[in-house]
Amino acid sequence: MDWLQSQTRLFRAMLYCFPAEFRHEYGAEMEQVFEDRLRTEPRLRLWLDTLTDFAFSAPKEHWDILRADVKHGVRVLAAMPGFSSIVLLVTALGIGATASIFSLVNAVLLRSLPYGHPEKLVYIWSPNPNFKGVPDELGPIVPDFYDWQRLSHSFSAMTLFEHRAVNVMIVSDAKRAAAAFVTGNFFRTLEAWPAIGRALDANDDQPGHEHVAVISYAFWHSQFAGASDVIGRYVRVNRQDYAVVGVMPQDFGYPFEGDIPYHRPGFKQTDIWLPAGYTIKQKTDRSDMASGDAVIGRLNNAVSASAAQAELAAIEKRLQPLYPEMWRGWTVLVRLLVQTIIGPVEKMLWLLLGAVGIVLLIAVSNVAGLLLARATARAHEMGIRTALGAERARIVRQLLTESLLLSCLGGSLGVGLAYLLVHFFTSLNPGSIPRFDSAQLDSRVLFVAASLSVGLGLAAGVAPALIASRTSLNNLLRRGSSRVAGGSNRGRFALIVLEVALSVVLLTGAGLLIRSFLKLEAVDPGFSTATLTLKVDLDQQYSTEESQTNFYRAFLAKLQELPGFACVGASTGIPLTNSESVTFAEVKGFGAISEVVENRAVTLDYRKALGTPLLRGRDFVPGDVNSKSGVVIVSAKFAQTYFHGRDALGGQIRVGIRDLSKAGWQTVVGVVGDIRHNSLEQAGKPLIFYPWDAGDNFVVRLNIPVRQAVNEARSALRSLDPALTLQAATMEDLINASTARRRFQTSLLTGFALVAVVLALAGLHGLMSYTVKQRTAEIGVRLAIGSPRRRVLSLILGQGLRLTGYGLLIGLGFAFAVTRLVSGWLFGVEATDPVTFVAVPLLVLLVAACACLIPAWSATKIDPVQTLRQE
Amino acid sequence: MPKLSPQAFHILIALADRDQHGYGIMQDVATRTGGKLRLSAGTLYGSIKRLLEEGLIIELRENQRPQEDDERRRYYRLTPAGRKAAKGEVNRMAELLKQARAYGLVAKSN
Repeated sequence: MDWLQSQTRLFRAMLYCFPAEFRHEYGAEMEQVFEDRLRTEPRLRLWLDTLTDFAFSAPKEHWDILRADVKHGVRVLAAMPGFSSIVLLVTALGIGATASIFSLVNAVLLRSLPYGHPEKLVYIWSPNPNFKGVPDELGPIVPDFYDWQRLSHSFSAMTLFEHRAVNVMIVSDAKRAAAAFVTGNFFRTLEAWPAIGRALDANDDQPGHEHVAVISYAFWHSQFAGASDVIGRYVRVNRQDYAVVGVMPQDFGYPFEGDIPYHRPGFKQTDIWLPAGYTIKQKTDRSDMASGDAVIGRLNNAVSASAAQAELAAIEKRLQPLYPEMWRGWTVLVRLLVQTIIGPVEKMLWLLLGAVGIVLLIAVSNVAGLLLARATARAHEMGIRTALGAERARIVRQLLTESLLLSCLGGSLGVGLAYLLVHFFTSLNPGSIPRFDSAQLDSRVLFVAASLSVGLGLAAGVAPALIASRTSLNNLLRRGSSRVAGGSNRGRFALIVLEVALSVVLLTGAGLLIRSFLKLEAVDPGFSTATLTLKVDLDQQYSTEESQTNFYRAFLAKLQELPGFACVGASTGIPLTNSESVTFAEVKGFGAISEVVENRAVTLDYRKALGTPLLRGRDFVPGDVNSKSGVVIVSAKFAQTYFHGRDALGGQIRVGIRDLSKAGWQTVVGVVGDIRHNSLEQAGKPLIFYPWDAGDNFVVRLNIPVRQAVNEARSALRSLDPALTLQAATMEDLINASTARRRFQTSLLTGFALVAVVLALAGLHGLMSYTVKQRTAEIGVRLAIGSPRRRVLSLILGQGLRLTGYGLLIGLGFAFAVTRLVSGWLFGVEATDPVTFVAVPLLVLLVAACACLIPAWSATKIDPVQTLRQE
Repeated sequence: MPKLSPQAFHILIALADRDQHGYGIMQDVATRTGGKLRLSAGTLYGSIKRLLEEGLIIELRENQRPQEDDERRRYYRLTPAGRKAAKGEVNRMAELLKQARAYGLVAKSN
């Protein structure tokens, strides 16, 4: 009968599909029935029968218990609304914050870019090591691109494009928009295809055929109201009509803000793609050094980025003799596109996710603490149930169902909170984080939120459930229900220490970032933040340098006449706009400068309008412009670096792009304060100003409100040329834009740290209140035998602060270890900044004392007579 | 009174004239339905559990069981409430049958 035994054994194992309670009650019987049937029925049929039977009846039994437990759980939780709502709130906070940050990470880092096989895409830059101080991420000279395309074998497709602001005519109103002028392979390289119509191709890229356009989904909706007959209609860009041939899908807007390093025309995404239509001359003539903004290549299968780099570098080396000697030295840099786009924000987002993970951990321990307290309080109920024959597994299961019920409810509330938070975060506009706006609660985020909710319910619920179910009737009877409730609090103490420690870590990180931010705010940028800046993008109507200069002169004159425009200047580049203008220079007495030097042509009033102080010498005067005896003004940094120990005033420098020896010497007539041109975090570089009577960037010191001034400037521009558009921003706007990411990160981390502290101290407060209640009898006795109330107060306060102290010690230790994670974002403070490391513990101790004070105070109010009578 | 599931109704019928153990009930049902309804262990004891909870059947104490049987087996007996529930179900069905007959849905037997 061996086979009978083995089959029965198998059946017995399968009984584990059923709930333990059911199995213990009926398992033996079911086995008996199975054995009986084994003797009389064909085995195959019996097994088939059993399998189908189990498939239906086992889930039914589980479901029955679940339904009963949920029903019971809802009743129990509804009976203690205070407890339930606190747990729900804490859970919602934890899950909501985590889900919202995860949805940002998901949008920016995890969701695949809307291009085919994005991992095969590379940026190909063309740096020149001879130009020190210039970023490596330079677009190549146009003919180089065409030679790469012709000579290389590493790529299946390659495209060059220029990205710039254009003036789009909508009815009779000109509007600024971002356009990319692309070579024929652009869409094929990205493997991104229009939702309607066709992409641009090589035929469109021929001069004479280039008047076609592909537009973005957003542009289609804003300018054509999403009309289905958009194909073939015209869009007027820079005074020329382009026939719309395609509309891209909603998620395509390449290049997005931040997609191209060091290139910020100030648009969230691109709306119009037009053929570049380079002429034969543009494709081959290297004399005017015209370059594109970026090249994207699609690597052939099995070709690595470094192999492609090696091939292109060899090609580029062969091309060098085609350049004038002064301009040689171009090299090639191949970088993966995904890394380039995501790299700068990746760390920041992971940091935020880590921070919010800590908040979640604190929430879990907080809930666990609450459930533990609840478990000890319910020991009586569980003891009775055990006495009535309930199995331990059954009680654990029911308690876990309750905690899961709470965590899932809290999780749902958290998803609602996350929805609001994501909207809030995207409205904060942290600046140049690609695809940040597209963050939403998609299925992946919801799945994570659901898993976290279940995980939280289990993590926080298991220990309390095990503890509560351990109570035996014996204990209950022997110790009396009031004593059972007074079980050990060690678990809860440990949880509080953990919570305090974690919040100290967060608080320290936030403190360091806040200190950095304050230091940055205090930096002197070298200009007045109230200055209004205006920029006009000219189109091909102004193709000659002369017509451009004439326009700028005329506009400058118009602005100077406007009422309330106290001082107006113009320059070839203003701070914090990523405008680069560099030159080679030589200083008499110092020699040729090995790095390229920043230079700007400025009008007479530029310095005054910008609000930069004149340190020595004089400003430009009308006679300086076009004078034979050239004069320049230099920045303090320039004077300090290249006139080391000598007087810069009267010093001689000469500058030039080609042959310096042919350039004339110019005299330094003034020294101005340093200007932070690139970013607030970077000290001002050496800078040379030339006198000029025009410039495409205007700066204004105002006597009237900004809004009014911008309107006046707009009508002034319209009277000159209605097809042009004006971009206006105060220097403060530009500063805010340049520090937006830091502000976003700092405020989020600070918010998380505050939530963490509040959660930890709420936990501490709850625990101390509970302890006081537990120790009522003891305190009553102490008071009865004459212990002063002051002693009772310090007893409770001391216990709470001792717990906080342990948490602080552990937390500070951790903080020391992990603050180096944020060291990359620190400005003007060390990762071990003593101010932060002193302020954080003080703050935590202070708030902890407040949290313990109320329970401690209530302990002193205990009436000894009353408590002794109860005993 | 909640409607009885077909399985529960069959169990009640099987217990109508004598106390039985699980396997007995299963065989009884199978015989009566010509093998069409076979209550496998899971379904059988799931239904028995619910009938016990609703008080329609009871489990016999050890001294009430037939002497000769395997002591592992448990015996079940119909309670008055169970009998009433079964009768209620029978009446409901009879009523249904009557109506169906009036509409000519039932072939005349005999």
